[in-house]
Amino acid sequence: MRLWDFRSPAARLHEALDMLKKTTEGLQERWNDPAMEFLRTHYFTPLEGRVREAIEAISRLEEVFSQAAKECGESAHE
Amino acid sequence: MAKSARVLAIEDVDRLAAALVRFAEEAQAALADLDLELRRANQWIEQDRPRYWEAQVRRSWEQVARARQELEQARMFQRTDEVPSSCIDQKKALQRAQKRLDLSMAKQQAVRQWVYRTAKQTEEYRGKVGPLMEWLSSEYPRALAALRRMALSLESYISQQAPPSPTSLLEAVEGLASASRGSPGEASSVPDAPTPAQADSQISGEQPHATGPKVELTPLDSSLDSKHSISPGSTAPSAEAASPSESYGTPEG
Repeated sequence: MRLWDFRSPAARLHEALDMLKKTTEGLQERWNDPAMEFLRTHYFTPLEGRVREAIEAISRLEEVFSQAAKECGESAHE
Repeated sequence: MAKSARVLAIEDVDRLAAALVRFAEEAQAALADLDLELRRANQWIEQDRPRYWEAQVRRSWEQVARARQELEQARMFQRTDEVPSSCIDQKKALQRAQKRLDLSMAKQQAVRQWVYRTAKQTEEYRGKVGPLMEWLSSEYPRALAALRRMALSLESYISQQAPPSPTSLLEAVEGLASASRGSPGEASSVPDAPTPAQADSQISGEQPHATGPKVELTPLDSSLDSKHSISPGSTAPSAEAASPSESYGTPEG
């Protein structure tokens, strides 16, 4: 039994960003004007960076807590 | 052609808004789940583990003491004609108890170190996820409001079959964004900055355009004056906009 699960929420976040990107990229084929550029510059591009940063932080969290679980559990030194 | 393509489909704006709402809902749910999991993980490291290993150390001391006592008793009652190795079972039991005590004490020490390391990592995580949370609470409502404003401008244009206002959609979007960024206190002045759930319902069927005229994705009446060819991003008709088939044409793809 897993004590905690960071991977599922991280995957959910990743998937949510992918869906949004697919939509914007699909629309960009026919919607490519200054308004879209404005939305992209001010909202979507910064968002992508923030999501990626969050996912990296979750990944490090997963690594550290997995190691902690191993070393603070019953079996590591046995 | 791709560069001159203009968005004139309210459906496109709505689709983007709906995707944005879906993203925000998913992201907020994911962050809430993470918060819960992180709390569970920290509780395990900070509370469960110290208690567990403390109990194990106490129990191990008791086992060591018992094993020593049993060994002593075995030695005392050992008959003189017996070989010394007859206490081997008691000796092995003592060794096992001592080994378990050493392990428990080492674990106790490890837990203390991991409490510190995981707390530090948790703090780092919160710092890294902060900008995303901030985006969701402040930028997301602004982006959604900007898209709704664009949709309303398009609806207005379609219903009147005339230029909606001197303000282009870009200016509407930029104006909204800059007005809402004026000062922290003004952030709440963004019109109808909705929660994801509210926004979803607005997009899915409660927006005014739902019952109003729809943008047809077919070329508009060729008699339309080029000055009416307002694209979301231009106040003045562009060279491409002068051609209705390009400006208002059916979206490619």
